[in-house]
Amino acid sequence: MTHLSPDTFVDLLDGTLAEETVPHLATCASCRQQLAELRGTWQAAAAVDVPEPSPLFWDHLSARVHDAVAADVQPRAPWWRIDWSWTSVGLAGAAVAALALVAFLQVPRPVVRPGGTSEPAAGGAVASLAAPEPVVLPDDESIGLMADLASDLDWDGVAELGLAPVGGAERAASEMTADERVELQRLLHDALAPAGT
Amino acid sequence: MATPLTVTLNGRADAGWNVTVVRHEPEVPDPALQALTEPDLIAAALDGRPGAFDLVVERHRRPVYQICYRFMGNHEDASDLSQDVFLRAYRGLKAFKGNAALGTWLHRIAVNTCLNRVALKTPKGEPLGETEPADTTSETPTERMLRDERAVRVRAAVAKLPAKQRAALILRTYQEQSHQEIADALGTSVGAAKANVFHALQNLKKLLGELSP
Repeated sequence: MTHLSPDTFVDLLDGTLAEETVPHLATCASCRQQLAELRGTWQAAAAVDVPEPSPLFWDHLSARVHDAVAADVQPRAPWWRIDWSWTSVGLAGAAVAALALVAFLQVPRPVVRPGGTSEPAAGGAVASLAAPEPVVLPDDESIGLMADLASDLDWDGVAELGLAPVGGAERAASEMTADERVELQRLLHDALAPAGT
Repeated sequence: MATPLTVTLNGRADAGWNVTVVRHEPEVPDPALQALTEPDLIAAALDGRPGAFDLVVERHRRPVYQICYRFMGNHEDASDLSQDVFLRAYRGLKAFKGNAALGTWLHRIAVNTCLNRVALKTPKGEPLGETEPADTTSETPTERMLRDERAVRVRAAVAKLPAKQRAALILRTYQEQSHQEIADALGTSVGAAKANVFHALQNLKKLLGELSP
């Protein structure tokens, strides 16, 4: 006896083929049972919903797609418009120095104590950014006073003192996000790279 | 609206670098876009009209996510894949001829994206803590728990099916696509698409038997 083909089973499940038009079903208990089991499995699968994600998820997904598309459209510089006008490569030094200044201002500085009891560093004070150690200065009261005042000075304080004027590189760079600083560094690096590299 | 931030690197009086930073905030959808027909909305997206593709995403994100979830069986992968699907759709928008509905076209991209992902990794399934949508019927806590457990078992079983069987079953059962559409999506014949549905159901039955407590 030839049983029903997969094609026929699927047509019967879909309803595109009526059971009464398939004489084999009336005489084959095995195919009837298989059809019933397939139908039950299909109904069990169809009854299962996808769990609803957080209501915030949909907007988050849209935002991610929006950002991905924006990055895809402008893969090199999506968030930046650049107007270069420069005549001297030496300016690059100023730019790098500005970034270095910002980085320095944001690095937690060690507490400076006048007349510290630590072992004096040979040849003057040396501070390591990688492993900051208390800086030991010569035993000068005026330097100690300045150091104490500066130790509590945050970036806003620096700006108020006019050390970082509006429009200046230091101030602008300090207002950038970490990603934006990285991008600026990349732009500077590209601009400073010798032609053809 | 963009928030500009200007950076000026002043090294000398006679020269300087002017770097303009423009931070883009999410575009506010244009209400006029809502009234556009699907072909006009696609044309607007192709023209780069702000918010047009965002609206495409907004309209189709739920079914795309659901396909991805059905395929992968967990939220994390479904979320990542949904993003990939829309990015692929954006890149391929010029190739969309409008012969099929945009939703059908996106479903096809979703299936292909899922098939590619499955070829790279095995879906990890959902954690037991994930629950069904709230039911409005008077369901007892016990009934609710049993239904949740059954749903987790079925989803886990579907996620274990071979990729093409899984795709055929998902498209037929949840997307109600015709066998011709499934064949087009999978790049097979109609007969092969039906065979995939048949074997998917057979294997699903077996898997559900194995996964039963």
